[in-house]
Amino acid sequence: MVDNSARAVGLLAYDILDTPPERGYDDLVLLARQICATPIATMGLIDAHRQWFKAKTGTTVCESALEEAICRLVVEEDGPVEIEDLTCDPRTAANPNVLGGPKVRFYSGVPLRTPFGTIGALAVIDTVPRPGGLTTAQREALEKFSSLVVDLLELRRRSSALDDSQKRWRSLFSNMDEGYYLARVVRDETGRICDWLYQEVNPAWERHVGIGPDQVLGQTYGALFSVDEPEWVDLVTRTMESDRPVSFLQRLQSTGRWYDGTFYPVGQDYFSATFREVTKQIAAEQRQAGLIALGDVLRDERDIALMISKAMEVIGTAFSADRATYGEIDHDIETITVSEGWALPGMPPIKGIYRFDDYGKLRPTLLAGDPLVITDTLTDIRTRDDSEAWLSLRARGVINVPVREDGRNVALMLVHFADPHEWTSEEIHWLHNAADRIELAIARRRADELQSMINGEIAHRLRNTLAMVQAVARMTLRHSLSKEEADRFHERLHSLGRAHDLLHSDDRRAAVLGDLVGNILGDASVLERCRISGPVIRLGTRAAMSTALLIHEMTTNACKHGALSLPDGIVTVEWLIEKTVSGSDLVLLWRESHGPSVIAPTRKGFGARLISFGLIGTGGVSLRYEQEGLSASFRADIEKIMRT
Amino acid sequence: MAHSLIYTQSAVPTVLVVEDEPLQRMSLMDLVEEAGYPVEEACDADQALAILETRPDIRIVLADVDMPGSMDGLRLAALVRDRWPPIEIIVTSGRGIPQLKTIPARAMFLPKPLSEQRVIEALSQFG
Repeated sequence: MVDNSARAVGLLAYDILDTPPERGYDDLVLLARQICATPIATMGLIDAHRQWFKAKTGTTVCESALEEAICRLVVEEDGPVEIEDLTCDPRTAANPNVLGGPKVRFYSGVPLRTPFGTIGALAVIDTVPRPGGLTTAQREALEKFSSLVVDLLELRRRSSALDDSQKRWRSLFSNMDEGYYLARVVRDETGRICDWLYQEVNPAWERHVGIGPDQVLGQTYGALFSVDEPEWVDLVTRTMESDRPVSFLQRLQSTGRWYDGTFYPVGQDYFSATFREVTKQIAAEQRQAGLIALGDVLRDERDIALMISKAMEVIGTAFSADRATYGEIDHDIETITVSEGWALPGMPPIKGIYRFDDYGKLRPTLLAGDPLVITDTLTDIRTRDDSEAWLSLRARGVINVPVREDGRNVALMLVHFADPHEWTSEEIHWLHNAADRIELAIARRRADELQSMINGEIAHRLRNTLAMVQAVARMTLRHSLSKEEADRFHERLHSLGRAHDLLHSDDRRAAVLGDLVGNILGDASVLERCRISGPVIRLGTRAAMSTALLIHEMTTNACKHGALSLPDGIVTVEWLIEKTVSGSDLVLLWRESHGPSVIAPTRKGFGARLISFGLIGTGGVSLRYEQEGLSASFRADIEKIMRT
Repeated sequence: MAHSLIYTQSAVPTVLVVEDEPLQRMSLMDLVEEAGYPVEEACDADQALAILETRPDIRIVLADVDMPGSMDGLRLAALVRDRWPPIEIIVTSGRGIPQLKTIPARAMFLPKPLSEQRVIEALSQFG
C-alpha cells in the first residue's frame, strides 16, 4: 500500500496542482503520444483524493476520481504498468473509462519518481487493444520522457524557492530603517572609477537622502549631487579594489548631511551600500566637544579680545556654521559694534558698527531680551524687507543670543549660516549656555585686570614709599649714625624692597625662594661666589619679608666676618623639604667654607636677633661655628611659609 | 668756549640727578656727592635738557623713569643718547623693570628703593 500522505507531501513540495498548462510538460506529452503512436497521452499527478492532469493530449478531461485513475496503479506499483487490453485485466475491466466514456483499451504508464517520492505517471493510452504492447524503443522513450518531466518539475521547484528567498530579502531591504542601494561603478577612459550609476534603492533611501527613489534610478551620483567629492569616490574605489566591505562616517558636502554606513562589493562592477543619516548625532557630538573646547578657551586665555575670538571659532566649528562673532550693543539696543570673530574663508568681513534698523524689525525681540532666531532672513517677516543687507553679509540662517551683565543685555553672540538653517531647541539652549559662560569669563577677566592694575599701583606706591623712607632716613640720620650703621639700614630697607618686587611681579602674589636668595646675593655682588640650589618654593608675603631680611643679614655677616670676607671663601645655600610627624618642613642650609676660622659672636645685635627669628619669625634656627666656617640651618613649616 | 675746556679736563665727571620727588632728589644728590662726584639737579626732563645744553662737563645722567612733564625718564634717556652719545645714563624706577628695548644701549637700570652700593658701583664704572 502506498502511503497517501507521503505522496501528498511530495506534491506539496512542487506546489503544482491546479496551475495553468506549461509548454515544457505539454511538449513532452505530445512527443510521447507521437512516438508511441497513441491518440492520448497524459501527465497525471495523484494526490490523496484525485488525479489531476498537468499536461494531456487527446483528451479534455482535467481530473478524475482516484478510483477511476489507472495511473494510480503505476504509483502503487512504483514501476511501469502496461496493459494490452484493459477489458481483460481484472484491475481495470470494471473501470468506468473502459466500460463507457472514452472506452479506452490500451494503457502504458511509467512512474514520475521525484526526490520526494512517486507523485504520478506519464502515460500513453489507446482506444484499441495493442497486443504485444509498446516496442522496446517506445518504452525506453517513455521512460526518458518521465525523467525529463521530473527534471522540469525539480527545476521549477528550485527556481520558485529562489524566488521566495529573493522575496524575503527584498522585503527585508524595503522594510529596513537603513538606506540601501545597489549601484554599478562608472569608469573613465583610464579605467579609474569616477562615478556610479544607481540601479536599485530601497524606500528608506528617500528618508535618509531626501531624494525620491524615482529620481534616483538610472542616475549617476555625479549628476544627482552635482558636486565633486573625491572622498566618496575614494571610498567606493577602495571597496572595489580591496573586494571587502568598507565602512564610512562621512559628510556629503552638497547637502551637509552626515552618513554612517558600509559599502559592500557585489561582484563585477557592482557594489551595494547600507547607511544611516547621522547628522543630528554628529551635530550633538560636535556641540559636546565644542563645550569642552570652550571651557578650555575661557579658562586659559587671559586676553579678553583673544579669548572672545577663540571662543567664536570654537562655537562656529561646533555648529559647522559659516560665521560666529560677538558684538557689544549700546544701552538702547540701536547699534551693535561687531568684532571680526570667526568666519569660514570666503565670508565677507563683518567688523564694524551696525544699526539694527538697517537689518529689519529686530529691536522688539532684542529689547524683550529674547534671542533673535531666524531660519532664513529672506523669508522671515522681520527681515525679508531688508534681505539685501543680510545677503551682503551672506547671512541667511541667523541667531543672535544676548549676553547679559547685571541683568542687562550688553552684547550679542552672532552665529550665521550662508544657507537657511532650522535652529533646534538644543542648539538655542547650547548657545544660551555658551553666552552665559562667556559673560562669566569676561567678568572674571575684567576683575582680574582691575585687581592686577590695583596690585601694580600698590607695588609702585610701596616702592616709592620705601624710597621716601630711605631718603628721609638718609637726611635725618646722616650725622647721628656712623656710615656703616647708615649703610646697614639702607641695605635692610633695600632687601625688603627686593622681597616686594618679587611678590608683586608674580601672578600668585608669591616670591620664589631661589629668586629672592639670588637677588639679595646679587645686590651684595657676591652671587658668583655662592652656590644656590633647591626646589621651587613659593613664599607668602610675610615669609618673603622675613626670609629676605634673614638672607640679607647672613650675607652681610659673611661679607664682613665670614667666608665672603676672604677672596677664596664660598657660600652654599641649599634647601629641601623634609617630612615631619605633622606635615612637611622647609629646611634651608647655609654653609660657609674656605673662609677665616670663626667663633660665635659675644654681643647680640639687631642683626643677630633678625637671624634668630628664622624664616618666618618663629625660630627653628641652628647655628654652628665650625672650623670650616659657619654652618646654619633654618627650619619652618612649609604650609606656613607658603600661606603667610 | 674756554670754560668748556676747563670742564672737560676735569678728572671727576659731573652727575646730573633728574628726579621729580624733592626728598628723593636731595637724598640721591647727597649720596652722589658723598661718593665724590660734583652733582647737578633737575626736577624734570625739560629742565634736565636745558642744563645739559649749557653744561658739557656733565658726563653721567641719573634719571627717574616715572616723572610728570612732557617726557618721562626713558624718553629723556633716549634723547640724551641721541644728542650727547658719550653721556652715560642710569635710569631708576619704582614701577618695576621697563622693557629692554625701551632702555637705550649702554644705559643701566636700577630698581627703587635704590641700593646705595649699586649706585656707587654704577657711578664708578662710568666715571
